[in-house]
Amino acid sequence: MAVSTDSSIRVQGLTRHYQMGPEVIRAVEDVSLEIAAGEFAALLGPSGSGKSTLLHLMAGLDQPTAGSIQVAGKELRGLSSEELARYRRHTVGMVFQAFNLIPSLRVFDNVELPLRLAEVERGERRDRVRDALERVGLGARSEHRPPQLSGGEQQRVALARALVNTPAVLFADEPTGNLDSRTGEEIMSLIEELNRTLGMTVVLVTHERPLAERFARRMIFMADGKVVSSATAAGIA
Amino acid sequence: MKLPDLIEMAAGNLRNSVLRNGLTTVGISVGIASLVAMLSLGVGLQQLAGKRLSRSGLFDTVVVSPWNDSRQMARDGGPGGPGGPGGSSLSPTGTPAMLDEAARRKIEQIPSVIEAQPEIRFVGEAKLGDKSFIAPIAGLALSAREDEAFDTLQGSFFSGPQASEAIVKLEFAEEWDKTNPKSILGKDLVLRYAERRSLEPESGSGLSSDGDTPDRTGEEGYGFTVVRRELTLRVVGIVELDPFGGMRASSRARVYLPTALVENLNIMQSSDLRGAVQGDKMQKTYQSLMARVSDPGRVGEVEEAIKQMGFRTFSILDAARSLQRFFVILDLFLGIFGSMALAVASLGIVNTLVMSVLERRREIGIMKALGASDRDIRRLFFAEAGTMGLFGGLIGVAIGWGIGFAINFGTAYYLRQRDFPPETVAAVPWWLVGAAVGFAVIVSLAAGIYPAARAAKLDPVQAIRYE
Repeated sequence: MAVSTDSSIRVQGLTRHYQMGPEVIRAVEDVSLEIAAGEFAALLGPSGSGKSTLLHLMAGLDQPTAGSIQVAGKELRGLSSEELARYRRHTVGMVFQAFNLIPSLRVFDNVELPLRLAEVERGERRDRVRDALERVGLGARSEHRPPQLSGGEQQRVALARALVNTPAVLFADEPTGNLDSRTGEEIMSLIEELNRTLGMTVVLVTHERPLAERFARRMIFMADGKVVSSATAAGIA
Repeated sequence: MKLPDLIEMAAGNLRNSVLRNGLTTVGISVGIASLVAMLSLGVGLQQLAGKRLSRSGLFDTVVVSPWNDSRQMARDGGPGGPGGPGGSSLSPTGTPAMLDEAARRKIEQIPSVIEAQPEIRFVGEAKLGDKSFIAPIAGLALSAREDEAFDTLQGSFFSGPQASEAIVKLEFAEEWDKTNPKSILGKDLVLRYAERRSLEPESGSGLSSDGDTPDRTGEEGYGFTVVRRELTLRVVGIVELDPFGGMRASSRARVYLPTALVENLNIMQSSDLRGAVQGDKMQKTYQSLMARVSDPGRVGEVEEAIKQMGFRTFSILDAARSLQRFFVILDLFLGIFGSMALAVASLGIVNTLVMSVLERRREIGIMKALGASDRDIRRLFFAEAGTMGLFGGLIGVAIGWGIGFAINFGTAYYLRQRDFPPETVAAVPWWLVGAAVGFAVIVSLAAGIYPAARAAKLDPVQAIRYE
């Protein structure tokens, strides 16, 4: 499994406001940051600090009010919904706190879904799904349905689904939030391994600082929609 | 997403809530069934009426007669009328055309004219054993076999166009033998008739040496004589009803002979007297010809073509037109009533799919997060709607066909109880099958427009937000 070479993220003056009745929610306010290709960055902050919104903007799930986002050399702002969908299909892998597997589909079909959307040939799909499931250690569970699996196993399936398209960037939104600490560490180790072996850029959103300190090489702290500080694993800058 | 994947996913989604989608599909099939049953009735009745009418020989026949018919002359204005004496006896083109053999061949050459048969009827004497009858006698073309009067023919029809055979009316047979009219079959009937034999021009006439009449042509001196002839015919059939619904002169005869045979007999007819003073030569002319048209829809153009040749025509085309209009309106109303159930069913599809969008909000969000475009989601919902429509349509056509079958069965039973032959009143032609299934799919897709748009518009961030 190879990952495209340029997987850096450049965010410039990024702003996202929501209109909620008469009130304007400033979820993300003038954020600029850069994440190098192959980096493992953690976005930290209390809930409501805008880290998830920032993640969604970088993942192409949401459109900014102002500013620019470049991922793997591609400007996301102003893309049509069709172009954003293509970006998500080919460049991005995502894991969520709630796993977000489709319960009616078998594990195999869940992992296969991004390949179907990318119109990958059936024979190749089978091989790639098997590879991805092997990589997360669930080669034997492909016929099960998500509700038959434990939380940790479900998150592994979600990881397999996220990496099956060999994305340049993996966005993980509180991936350990629903798991006990031991399972959470296992998942984090797996993500770190993908980052290390596949060279995949990882952006992790979490509010568990110890976890971030242990696995991420860089921590970005947010509060009230703004980046307040940035630190490498060595210490706060 | 590729189409096979799309269909596979749609089928999987439909299976996931099989009861609800099944019931929705049943709703569509009931709608389609009612539509198909209604329209099959309309189509069946139209076919029945069409078959009856076309077999009656009324709607596919153009009656051709010459303009110079003295009776027509009187009726169409006559002496003193707008055109002066005899003015209207001329054809619109101004040339009084003779309805002779050449004209007959010309009429038969008009595309979509199958045949042009003369109506020959005369009075003759029929001798059967020791009894003899004066009876109206008429020629019947072989094509008359298809007339429904011969559905109940006893014995057989003419074996050939020149066969020395006769078919008699039941009343004739009963007159011959009240108790056992069927015994007339196979008997020899001796027909006595008046033959018209042409005479050669008298010598010395024609272009005479009489110098004071230079415009005399060689037409003088022609003529014919009437000779009594006898012909032996075998009685092969007994017919009970008047052929052609009793609408033609020939249908009121009591003994029928093959037209081609009668034509060769040169039987004296009333028109021959008029023919003796008309025309260039002593040619044989026809009182009238019945031109059969292959398609009742082309009767109009055939009539026009024959009129151009200088003849009078008559058909019941207008009656056929108004009948067609009636069936168009009938089909329309049956279709509207049948569609009502389908309209209700389409609301069912909208409901089912909207429910499905609500239930699958999260799933749709996930798919979008994984890279599904708005178009993919829309197509997925259309595929689900279309699949329900397709199955509903197929099942509905089957049910509708069953209802039509039941109507036919019931009608046949009812008719049999009253000693009538069974009739097909409901028909499901292939075009109706195809159109009904197609209509079901189209209605379902239309019903899917709103839910599909709603699903496609879903904001993935909202949809996958942890609940």
